[in-house]
Amino acid sequence: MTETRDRWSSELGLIAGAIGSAVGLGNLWLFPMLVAQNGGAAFLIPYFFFTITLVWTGLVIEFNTGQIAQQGPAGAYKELGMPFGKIVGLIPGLRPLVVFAFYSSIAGWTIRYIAAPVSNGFWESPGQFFGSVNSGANSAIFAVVATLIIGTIVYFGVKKGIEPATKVMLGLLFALIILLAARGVLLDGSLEGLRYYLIPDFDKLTPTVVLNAMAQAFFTASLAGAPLVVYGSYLSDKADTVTAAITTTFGNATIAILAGFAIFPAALAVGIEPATTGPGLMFISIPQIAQQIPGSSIVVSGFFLAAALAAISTGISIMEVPVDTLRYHTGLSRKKITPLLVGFIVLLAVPTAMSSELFNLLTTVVLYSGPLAALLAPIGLFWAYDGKKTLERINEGPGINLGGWFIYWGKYVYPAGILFAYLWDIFG
Amino acid sequence: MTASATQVIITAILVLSATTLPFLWGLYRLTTLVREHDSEEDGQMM
Repeated sequence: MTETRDRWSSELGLIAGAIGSAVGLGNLWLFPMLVAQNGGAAFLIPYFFFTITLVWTGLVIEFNTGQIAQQGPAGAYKELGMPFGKIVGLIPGLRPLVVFAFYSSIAGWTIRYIAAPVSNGFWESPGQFFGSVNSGANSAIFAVVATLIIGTIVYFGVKKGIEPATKVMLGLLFALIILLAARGVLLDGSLEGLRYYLIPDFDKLTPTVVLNAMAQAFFTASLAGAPLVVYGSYLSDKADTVTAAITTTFGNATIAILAGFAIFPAALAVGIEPATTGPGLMFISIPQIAQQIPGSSIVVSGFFLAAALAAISTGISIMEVPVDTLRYHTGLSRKKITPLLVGFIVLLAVPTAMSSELFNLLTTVVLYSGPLAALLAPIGLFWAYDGKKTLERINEGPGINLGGWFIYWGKYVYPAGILFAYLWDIFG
Repeated sequence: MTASATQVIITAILVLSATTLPFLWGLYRLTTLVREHDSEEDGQMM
């Protein structure tokens, strides 16, 4: 017997799930680092520009791909009339499995780091400590812990698992990040960091900075033709997808902006130049920054608890995609598929966690398959289905109505933007 | 020229408002929508 499709209890469930999906380490660490590497506040101007033009419209497109088709990526493109849709849907439908194989390692490190301040050798040598966490059996064990936590939540389905779990986690994440931002701003000497973060130097606003901002705005929103399509498919016909998209976009940006308030004042107050530390160094730089300010253990645990919550809520949306894909192709229930999938992921995640070569190979596969996966939603809706009908369906909801411009936007501007952002990220 | 503390505070308020206000507006709007939807359903049941 085929199960009936899961449903959010309301749009609030969708935005909790979607913000949970979008908010990850990209917001807490990569965003502040990109701001630092791209001329401080000058980066914020194009970032806001792309957020209020391309990002929320991308979310409307991905939510509606799922909502109109009432299928995740595995079935949506066939349903929307795309040639070879069932085969094409396997790319976004199974790509998250590869993402999960290495993402589980990163999620595992963040979980391990919550208790790091009381571990031997952590404060003496943060670099060496990270070396022991991110390799070998230690890394594998915590990758499995992360997979099991995420798998358990997914096992209980949308209304009993994903929706309540992401609502609680996001509430906690917001509270933590506000406290960390307040801690940063209230430090002695925080003004220098805030100046660096907030006052633009327009000389630094180069085309490279603009393109970096565009790529970051896209990637931080989870626009990959998969998690948000599945989440959109759990909406009823009469949902306000436009307001949900706007709320998700700005909730996601709020956390990224607050993370900057948490990191810049503290980093500059203790003399660490943020631009000189790359994204992989979060696990080393945060302890170095924190160790020189009062309450360092609490700050480190709080930061990595926030990072773990962000990583788990993103992991949920990543695992939900192959669960949906396998349900579509096999007709088996969620409760049968999830444990099988968790077992398979563990088999994939353990060697990935232990081998940096495999880890790097999988991240490359994910990077290069990105443009195709992300382009499927606008192509499915505006080319295979129909631009006019798509707009009518979007406007059927009780919320904001979009004008005729959205047809051209979805057909030409948005796909061009997403292709450009991806190609820049790969080759730029 | 270095920005003064006042300039920094004003910019901080502007930047935070640019993201939090649309977010809070959306949350409020959707919460209201859910309440309306619930009361419509209650009305139908009666």
